[in-house]
Amino acid sequence: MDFELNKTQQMFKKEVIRFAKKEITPRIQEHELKDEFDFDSFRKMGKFGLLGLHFPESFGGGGADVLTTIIAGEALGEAGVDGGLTLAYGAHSFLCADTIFSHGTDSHRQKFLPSLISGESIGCMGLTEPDAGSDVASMKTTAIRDGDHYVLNGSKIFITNGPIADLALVYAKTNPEKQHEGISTFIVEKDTKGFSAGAPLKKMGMRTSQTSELFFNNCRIPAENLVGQEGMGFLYAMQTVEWDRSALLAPMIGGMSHAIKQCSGYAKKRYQFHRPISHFQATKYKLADMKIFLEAARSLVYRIAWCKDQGQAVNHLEAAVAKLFIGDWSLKPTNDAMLIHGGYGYCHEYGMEMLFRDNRLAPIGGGTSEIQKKIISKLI
Amino acid sequence: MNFKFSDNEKILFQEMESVLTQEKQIFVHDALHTEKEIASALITIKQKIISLGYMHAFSKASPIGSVAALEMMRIFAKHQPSLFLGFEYGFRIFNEMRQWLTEPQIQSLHIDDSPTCAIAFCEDVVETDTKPSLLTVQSNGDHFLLSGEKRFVINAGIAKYFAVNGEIDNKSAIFFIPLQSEGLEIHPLMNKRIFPGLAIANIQFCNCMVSKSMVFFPQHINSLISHLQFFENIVCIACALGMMDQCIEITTGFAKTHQSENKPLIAHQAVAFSLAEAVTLRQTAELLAYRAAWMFDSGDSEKNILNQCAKVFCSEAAETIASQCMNILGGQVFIDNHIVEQILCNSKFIQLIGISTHLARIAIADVVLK
Repeated sequence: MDFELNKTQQMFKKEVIRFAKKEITPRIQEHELKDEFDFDSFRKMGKFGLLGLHFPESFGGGGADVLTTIIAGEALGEAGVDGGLTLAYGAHSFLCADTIFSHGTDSHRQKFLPSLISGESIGCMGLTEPDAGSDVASMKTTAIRDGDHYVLNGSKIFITNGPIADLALVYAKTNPEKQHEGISTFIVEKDTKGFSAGAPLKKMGMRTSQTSELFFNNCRIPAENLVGQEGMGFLYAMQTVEWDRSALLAPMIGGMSHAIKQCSGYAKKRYQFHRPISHFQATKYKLADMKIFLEAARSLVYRIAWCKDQGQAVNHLEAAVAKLFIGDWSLKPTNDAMLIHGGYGYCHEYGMEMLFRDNRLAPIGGGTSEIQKKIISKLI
Repeated sequence: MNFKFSDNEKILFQEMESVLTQEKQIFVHDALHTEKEIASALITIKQKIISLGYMHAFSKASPIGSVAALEMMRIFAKHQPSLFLGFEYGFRIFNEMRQWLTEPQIQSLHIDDSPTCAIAFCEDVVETDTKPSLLTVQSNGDHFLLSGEKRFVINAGIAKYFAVNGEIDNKSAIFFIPLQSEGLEIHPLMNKRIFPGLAIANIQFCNCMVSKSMVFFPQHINSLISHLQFFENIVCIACALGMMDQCIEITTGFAKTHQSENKPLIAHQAVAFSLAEAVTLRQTAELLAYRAAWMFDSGDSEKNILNQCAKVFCSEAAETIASQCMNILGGQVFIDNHIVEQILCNSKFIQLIGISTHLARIAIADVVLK
């Protein structure tokens, strides 16, 4: 076994941290307080090459391996980039663009990928519905073939980038009588008649990412917008789960590194009872637990990336374990990070309450902890 | 990066598993009551696993990488945690001390299949720091006379020597005391609820004569203790992983075969989810442990802090898993010294030995705060 990042990966990580600290983090608080998406930073990420890091250079991508892509996400978190922007990046690059790249036609790739990779256009993925969360197969949105078109009816909810997306990758039933086998995947462009996005939802955290409902009301899309084959949508959705269990978790790992540095710096400067609070064992315990969580979680995410790079089918047990551990076990250290800062931790200025609110999504989004436990227990 | 074991390493694990399975009869707890029975089991095991390169693990000359070595230790611990701990303290931990103390008398100690030396550093209660020793030492010609007590000595009555720490003129000293020395009394094995096949006893010195040629003054006693704790932590980590394996294996088997409300226990969501949490903790612990072991080979600057992180996480995960498994197994765990109940108690013990999880957290935080 070998757990070392190569020199290029180590250098690249530093580069991403430097970029993010200069170009993104100075404006996070401003955008967070206004619940607004930072278009400027997003486009800069595209220009820097982050949005298409793992795509082939022929589409404007970086041609990087999955591990390097994960490290970039970790670096964003480590630089202090908020969960909202990294979530938007994940939904755009992995849940939307990657599915088009993996299962779309050449024409889809040529038409959509370059602008998604550069950040000129923004993508989202529409899977969850008001009555179909974890139980994806019970989705009600339909896509019925009508000559050279499909007609979509229904709605989606909790769609990251929904209100700002230029295109949506939508999962709908082409055969409503079937369960998983009846689901297909479509590209729906922003101005398509019958397609609209709801107002941004007010959320506890991830506030710089825009989340909304998507509505389809006799929305006619060309038949060539079908991605891959009819009836294969569930499988494609499950393949994106591999990204949910790796790339989307990586910024949280980096976020914990960032929090440890912040807490450590604060604890050394904050005096109570005539000494820095870093001298108190209660503070040390919290810092130690944060560090232990970080080191335990990091390898889980790297392992999934490494498996993908080897061309191995991701082991569902390992992927679910990573998601469950990081989702459930991250809550205590993020809470500890806030507690170390005391009253200041509860205030926006120090960033710890934002970290706490952002991380609260971890056991919910991308497959709840309960679903992970269900997967794991079936595989035991 | 590479997250897989090589084919050769996998073959080695199979051989280790096979050797230990063949010796199943000596792993029965009931057969490990006396020092003699335990010593005999340790000798048998050593003879069986020596050819697999187990003894050289974690040494620079070892052809087996540290991650694979850790996995072999885990297999041993899964089969018999008590013997594993006795074995590791008797051979590996002492060997680390021996390499540290370069004096010819130590190097020439006769090494055979039974544990050479038991380390007796603990006084009063299980100590986690290096307080001044309460042992009294008087010079008497070519000898020192020792009086006092050491507690919780692993392999007491089995090893041929005791390595005892003390102080002479405010200087730290280590006394090597032969088992049959006059004035040395070994108390009966502790009747304890942890590691039932591990020989732990208190030892008493009453004007015990120790030849001055067998007393050594290590220059950096704290460094020696840290070095030993590092390896004790590795032993604890492997032990925790092995015990987690055993807990999950036993409990999963039970949950699949035992019926409740006309269906297997595992078909009940609460049971299935509890097992899922246990598996999650084990996999996470395993990867953290592997990475910590890998750092030993790579000489990474974070090897000490990762060793401590892994010690804390693995030993506490073992406790959590044992506790969850007890809930699934129900009342049977309180009958006949059930292995899962023992593992719950054992996991508390391995949280204390080596560097305690309390002190490890403080040490981890000190590095983070630098």
